[in-house]
Amino acid sequence: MRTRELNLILDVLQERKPSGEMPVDWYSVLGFLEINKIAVVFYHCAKKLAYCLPQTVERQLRRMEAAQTERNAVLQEWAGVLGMAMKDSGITFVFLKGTILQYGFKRYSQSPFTYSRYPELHSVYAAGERTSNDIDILVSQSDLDAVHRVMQGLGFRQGVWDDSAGNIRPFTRRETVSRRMNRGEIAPYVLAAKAGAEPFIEVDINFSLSSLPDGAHVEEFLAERWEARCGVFAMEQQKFFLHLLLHQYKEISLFSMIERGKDALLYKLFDIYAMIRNELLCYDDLLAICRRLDITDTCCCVLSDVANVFDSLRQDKTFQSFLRRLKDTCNMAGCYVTNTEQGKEYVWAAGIKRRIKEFCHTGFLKERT
Amino acid sequence: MEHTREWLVQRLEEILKEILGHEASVKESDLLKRDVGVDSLALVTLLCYLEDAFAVTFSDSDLDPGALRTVGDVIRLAEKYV
Repeated sequence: MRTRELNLILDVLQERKPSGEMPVDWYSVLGFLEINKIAVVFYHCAKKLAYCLPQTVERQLRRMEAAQTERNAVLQEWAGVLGMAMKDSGITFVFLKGTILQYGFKRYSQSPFTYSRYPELHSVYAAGERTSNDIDILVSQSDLDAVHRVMQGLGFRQGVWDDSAGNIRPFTRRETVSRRMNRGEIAPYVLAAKAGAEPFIEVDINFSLSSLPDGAHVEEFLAERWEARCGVFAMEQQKFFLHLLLHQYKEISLFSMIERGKDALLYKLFDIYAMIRNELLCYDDLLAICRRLDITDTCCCVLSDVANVFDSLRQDKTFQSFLRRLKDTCNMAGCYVTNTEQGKEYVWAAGIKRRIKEFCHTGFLKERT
Repeated sequence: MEHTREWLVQRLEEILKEILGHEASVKESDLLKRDVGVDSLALVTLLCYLEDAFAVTFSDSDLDPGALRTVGDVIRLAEKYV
């Protein structure tokens, strides 16, 4: 993608009237928005800005909005069902990422008195705005067997959805064991949906905090959870934000994720930016947690990327001050990428904004000697 | 029938011979990768063989890569199920 189209997209997402060169390659813009799962957010931002989109582009974005709204409604309904079933089974769990981002968070720009007693709850996304393909849930490792029973009881099977056959391809036992042993993941649970435009529901069960070793700090992140709605539990707000950072760090530091193009997806960076922009963070609390859990390097790395992509954050003095305080406690020069299968380590040879423009990012890795 | 630890070690050695293609005399303290030559792929095969041999299914919480590093770890896992 050319710089002019990327700048246009980033301007609109930051609710700035684009001032770049014309003409714009709208084919390129639409493809980029869809791959980066940010099309509906872009559409809504453009509407807020009263930015005039070509009619065919606007029509396509409206179609995407309708499809996504329908999909999100189905996912939200299932989140409620899963949450209630897990709650009834005595499992301690929280939903992650997209499922939670459309619920209200406390705003920290208000006076401490107001936000502690009468919080104005603020949603990061409207329904249908944020793309979600699946439902992510965090549990302790000790609850995995109970979760498995709940999922089986609801009719889910471990496998993948086969688009061409229109049904679930269950994993072989070898595939399930291999996922667990080599990727440290539970094979996804899939259910064929009975009706509607969505053929299947996929649920990913997590028992580690993305880039942290198995089990580390999970109990702490499950504590102080709150019920966003019936059965849908979320992490405490600051920890929810930190989880987004830890998750993004995993995407930029594991070769296998980079190979799958997961390291620079704009929607994940936008999640983080949106929480900052909407003043949903208490920086003193964040800094204290980062220091206590020894994750300042990780968080600093991801936040620097976010600030490079969304440059309007340069004007946010509170955020900049937080980033400086965070950087003061960092030891690491940058992000190291590991290829566990080949036992190799790399560094990034290009910044995030350069990488975002390209489809394949492994070419930007330089092996460490 | 009660399965002794010796019996389990013997069964494990038989399975390892089949997977690795050579005799494997193992001690519980042996590291699977370094001492026995069981890499990540072979470990998955080993676990699946064990499940078949004992007609059991290991639960996800027991399939912890961090807790399955030595021959003794694998034997303790199998002991829990047989």
